[in-house]
Amino acid sequence: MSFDLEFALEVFLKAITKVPLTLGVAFSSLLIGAVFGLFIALLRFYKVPGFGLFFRWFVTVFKGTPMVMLISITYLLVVYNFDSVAQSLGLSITFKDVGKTWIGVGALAFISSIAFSEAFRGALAAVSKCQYEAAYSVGETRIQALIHVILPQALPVSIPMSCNIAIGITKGVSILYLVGIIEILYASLQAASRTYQFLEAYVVAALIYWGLSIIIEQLFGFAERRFGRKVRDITA
Amino acid sequence: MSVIEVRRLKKAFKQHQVLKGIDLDVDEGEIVVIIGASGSGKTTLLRCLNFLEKADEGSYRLDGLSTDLKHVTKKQITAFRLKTAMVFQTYGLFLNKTAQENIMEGLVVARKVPKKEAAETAKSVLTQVGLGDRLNARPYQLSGGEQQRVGIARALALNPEVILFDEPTSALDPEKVNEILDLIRDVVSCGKTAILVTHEMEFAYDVADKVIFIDNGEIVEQGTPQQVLGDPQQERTQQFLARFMLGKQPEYFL
Ligand SMILES: Nc1ncnc2c1ncn2[C@@H]1O[C@H](COP(=O)(O)OP(=O)(O)O)[C@@H](O)[C@H]1O
Ligand SMILES: [Mg+2]
Repeated sequence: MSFDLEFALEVFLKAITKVPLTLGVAFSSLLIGAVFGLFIALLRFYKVPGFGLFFRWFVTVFKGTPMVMLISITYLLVVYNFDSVAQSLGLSITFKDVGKTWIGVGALAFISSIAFSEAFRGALAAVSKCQYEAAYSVGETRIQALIHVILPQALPVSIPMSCNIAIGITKGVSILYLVGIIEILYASLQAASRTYQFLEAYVVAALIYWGLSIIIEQLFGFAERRFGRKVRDITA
Repeated sequence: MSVIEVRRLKKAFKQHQVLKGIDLDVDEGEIVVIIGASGSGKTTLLRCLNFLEKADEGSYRLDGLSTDLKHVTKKQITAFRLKTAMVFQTYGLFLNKTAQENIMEGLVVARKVPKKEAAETAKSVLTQVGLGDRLNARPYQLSGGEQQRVGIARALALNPEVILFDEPTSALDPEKVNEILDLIRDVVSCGKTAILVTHEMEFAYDVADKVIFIDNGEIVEQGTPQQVLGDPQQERTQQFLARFMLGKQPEYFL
């Protein structure tokens, strides 16, 4: 079996145009996911009555559900119900207006909230109890302590795990071909479907994802060096 | 006139009654030293005074604030905390902040002091504790003794009604203990009200206006250092001090 380099290049040029879309979807999902994830982590960490237990089960259930299933289920739910729900809410928008991309973002944001909530919860637990006490002892309220003392120490701890999540979600964008979003992998396969040169298509897509992962890792590595340096020995 | 008045303070952890009705009076400018065996409840008492532990019952008056400890509100707790400062055994510096920022934190965030003014205050207290040249050092760059100096400076800068010291030298290397004790002596002896838990008996004898011996969650004996340390009346105090001297003995052989 031979590898058609020239054809691979042709696929590459097609697939590379989907990088902005892939990064855009990944970035929006991660941003939304980080916000919700932090929120869930705080509710669980502070054992807020009701919410704490609820999200414990919520996270357990969805952590154990394969990504492909979550995406397909979200898609089907939206496809079947969107128009009627929108109508009953008196909204004049339909499924077609929202677009597949946003469903993809929604599904990946959901998945990343779960992952981020775990990363942040672990990071919060890594900050020693005496940091809270020191903050309270100088007169800070819970919220003040959280913003000024706890989060600035916890967030750097979560950087390595957040990096894994970012890479996972970026690769996860490729699954969105299931819902008809034409991203890197799908564009490659499309280009190959005429001549059945799928090996080239897969290799090209893999190389692009590989490159993206390296860039993301570098960015997080930079953040880790930048912010982690201040708080060495966090559990002391 | 007493600045602190605690009556019948009780605290239990589950079934374990740790403080069994503590009465405590501290006068303005007074230095009170609390002694007692490990596990007798000294730390818990200090922590109840700034609500790091919530006492189960009793009454507590501090300066112009007073509360029934059973029904204390969050607002009251914050108000009480703003009138106290604590020096921790393990320093408790904010690990994400420089020495100067450590001191500014309570001023700027909790007391709404303008940043510039807080920075000046921080600079001057750090100079006072001998760290005027380490303003930008982070906790991991400071030795234990230096970290405790920052801890003391942080408490001073807040200018509280009372400073609570919980075994401030217990985590230090032996050769650093005396210099920190000297510093504490300096900062409290100019009219600061302080409550100090320590096992350094000589120091206690030296700085205390009043010594309180706690055993098993109760105040067994209190009085001047000469009375309590020099001529204890209660058997339990005598035993503790004797045991304490015994415990110290190996040092004489060095
Ligand atoms: N958070 C806690 N939970 C349960 N027991 C505690 C807690 N804190 C202290 N204790 C118990 O309370 C008693 C008094 O502790 P502490 O006040 O630290 O004593 P001291 O400072 O005199 O050595 C000890 O028996 C200790 O085990
Ligand atoms: Mg103690």
